[in-house]
Amino acid sequence: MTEPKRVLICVGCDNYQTLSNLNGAQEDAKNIYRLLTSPNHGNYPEASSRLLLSPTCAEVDAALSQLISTDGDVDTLTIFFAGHGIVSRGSYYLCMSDTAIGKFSTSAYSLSRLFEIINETGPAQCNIIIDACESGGLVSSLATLLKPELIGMANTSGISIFATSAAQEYSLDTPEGGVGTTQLLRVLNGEVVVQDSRPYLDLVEVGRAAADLIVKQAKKLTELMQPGTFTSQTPVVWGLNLFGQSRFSKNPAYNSDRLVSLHSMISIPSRSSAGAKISEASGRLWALLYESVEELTPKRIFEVLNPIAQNLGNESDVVKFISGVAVPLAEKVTDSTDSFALVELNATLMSLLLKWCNQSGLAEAQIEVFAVALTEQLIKQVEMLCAELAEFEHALAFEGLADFYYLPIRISKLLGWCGAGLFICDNLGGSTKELKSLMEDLAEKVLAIYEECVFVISDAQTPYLLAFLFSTLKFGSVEIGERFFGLYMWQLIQDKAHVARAGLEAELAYEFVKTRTNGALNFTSPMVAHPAEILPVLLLMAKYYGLEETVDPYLSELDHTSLVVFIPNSHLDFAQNIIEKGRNHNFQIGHGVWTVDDFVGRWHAACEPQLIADNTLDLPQVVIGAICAALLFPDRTPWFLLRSYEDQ
Amino acid sequence: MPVKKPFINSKESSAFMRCFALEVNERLKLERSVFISEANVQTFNHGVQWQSHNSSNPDDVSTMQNVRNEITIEKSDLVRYNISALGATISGLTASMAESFAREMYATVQNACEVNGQTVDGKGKSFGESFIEILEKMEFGVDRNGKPEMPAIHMHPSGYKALKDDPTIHDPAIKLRIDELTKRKQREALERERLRRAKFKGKDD
Repeated sequence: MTEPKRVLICVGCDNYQTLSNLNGAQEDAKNIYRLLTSPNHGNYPEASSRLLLSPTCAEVDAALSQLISTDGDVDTLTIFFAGHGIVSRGSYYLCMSDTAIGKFSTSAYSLSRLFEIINETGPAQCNIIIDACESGGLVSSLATLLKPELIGMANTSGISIFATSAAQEYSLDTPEGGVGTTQLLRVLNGEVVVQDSRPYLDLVEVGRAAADLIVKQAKKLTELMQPGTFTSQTPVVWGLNLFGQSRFSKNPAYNSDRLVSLHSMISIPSRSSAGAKISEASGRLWALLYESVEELTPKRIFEVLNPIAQNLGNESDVVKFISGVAVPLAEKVTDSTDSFALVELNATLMSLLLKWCNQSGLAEAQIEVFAVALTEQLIKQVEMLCAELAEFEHALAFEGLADFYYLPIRISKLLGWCGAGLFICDNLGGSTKELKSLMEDLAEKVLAIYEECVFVISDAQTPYLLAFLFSTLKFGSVEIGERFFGLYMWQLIQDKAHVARAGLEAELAYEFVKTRTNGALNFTSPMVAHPAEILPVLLLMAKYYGLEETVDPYLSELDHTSLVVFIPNSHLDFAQNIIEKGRNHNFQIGHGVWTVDDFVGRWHAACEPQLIADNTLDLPQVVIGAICAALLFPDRTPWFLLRSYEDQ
Repeated sequence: MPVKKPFINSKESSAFMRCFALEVNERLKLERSVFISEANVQTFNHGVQWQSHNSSNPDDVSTMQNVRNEITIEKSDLVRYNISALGATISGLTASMAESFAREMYATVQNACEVNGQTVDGKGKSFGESFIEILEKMEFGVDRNGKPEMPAIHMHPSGYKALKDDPTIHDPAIKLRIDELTKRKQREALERERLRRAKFKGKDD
């Protein structure tokens, strides 16, 4: 098997025949070339790499055609350019030494020309780094150049771009090199750690880390300059990798002991059968990445990626594919105003892998990677939220009147994710101490500020309440758990267990709140969950907290209420939109269930054996993936958490 | 290459069809209410198996039945803008779905009655005698407020006419027996309900 071909072209242009000369562009190109051809960093072989200093357009053309016309498919093509860049009539041009002012279309190197060459070569991954004036202008050109149908037809798998200044701005350039390239080098040589879980870095994640440094550095420099001589430098990072993880550059921070099994996950050859299937779906994938970050919900991501993964039909390819698209998606949702977007993204990726567990272990290994990322992010966000609540008590109420419906859900969701996080940490074999302490802090604050909002308004709160309440039992926060249990149980009895069905259309939420306020809800309303899963959760918790005798006298007020416990045959299916294979255990208060113990007895007799029979739950990664699925798609409940839990 | 068409309204058409489906559902509710109370209609998100722990056989697991119905719209009706086809389609589909439901319902009831011996053979008996036998075998229920409910009787129109015209059903002695039987059954229903409610723990227990 031949080594995948890695091609590098570094262009630095200081000397111009008609444009003003620059100081550090050649130095930038030399530094990047040196680092990327080093076996310990970029690992681009010198034989397939070129350094061009102040070349003409013809020289760039010649170098490109020489490098890519030799035998063998190009796996990674990386192009670095430092010099003048210009947007003219909506098109972006890289200016070479012979570029003439006013004649850009004939004397400069247009981006469309570059993409024609890329398309002819069809590399599995193409990385473009531009440190030039107005370099950010290229992104607007890309929108027209990278049309999904063109990318699919051209067999171009992934493109990542890092441009160090936005359109209409000017890159800072000093004799030591441009600010953009200098910061990029710091990330590439490992001075700044991006991540330590994968052996290679993606340009998007490198660019994201460098971008933060560039903004800070540019700010510092501009403060030292004369007012009005420079506007802020805003790097642009953009990309999508359809064929597994990009191998732009070696990751100096990679901890090879951490996940040995991930070594095998590199990339999916674009001309393999899996590659062809991904090409077929490239339009949908590009469209997903083009969507605004607010539209990038777990449901939307799952809807797009799940059919593609199913079509790949092979665990190894699916794992490569999901881990590959994870990088640009993570970069994208980083911009979301939803502080839990990254938590939910990692959970979505784990849900996508759930179906592929219990085979060779690759999916499980990747779930662990996402689970670690999820818990790190969860801890960070809960910590920030607690700090915010200490400063501003009403921080959780930010959606105006709609919060009459969404605030109680948001509260249980936050607590539920904390509880779920504890189970995830525990299944990973890690410490639960930090998150437990944060969850207790958050719970105390919620009780102090939002006690009146601690009630069930929707059956979609069921998975969150199960995860939270049961975590208080399992990880020793019983007292807090009991207080929440009391509030939830009491209000549910007051409401006669009339809660909105999971998945209630947003348009009906207003009507539901109005009808609830008027006390006019009943089980014949299509807005009301009938049967609901929330009551069985609370009945089981009543038993586990030892509060059955407190609850029993109130059950007559819920006479005739139907409850359901849905348990799938296999939890590998737990993330699917509709889980066909499974059983609905139907109960009714006053008909077989008069006390908490009546229900618990049937739970042990019929529900628990079904959970015990599902041996996929013996795998901790399946438990983690299934918890995530339940919290993302809350029309299913993680009953499996209670598997084999002894009544107290 | 997919066939191209002018000015496609995919999203709008889907929304239109959702409204159509909602109307069919509303009408079906009315048809269904003849057989069962809406309070007993339940909606499940997942799974095709069902274990009813409140039934007399709580360990039985049953599988849900699929009911399929199809509608056809003639293109010629669209071209001629025959708007009555819309109403006809709604009525046709509702009737077809209601019929499927009724068929399943009667089959389920019949099966349950046969399994439990709750059938009456009317051969050689008058309608009056048969009717009394039916009532004897029945358990009356109570509504959600605890009030006794009279059983619903479903009959073919010809059977109903024959029942109505049968002289034994109007016989005062038979009528008296039916009346007494009904009252006894109602008392029994109330007693059962009292016993059922007594299984709840009171706040003072």
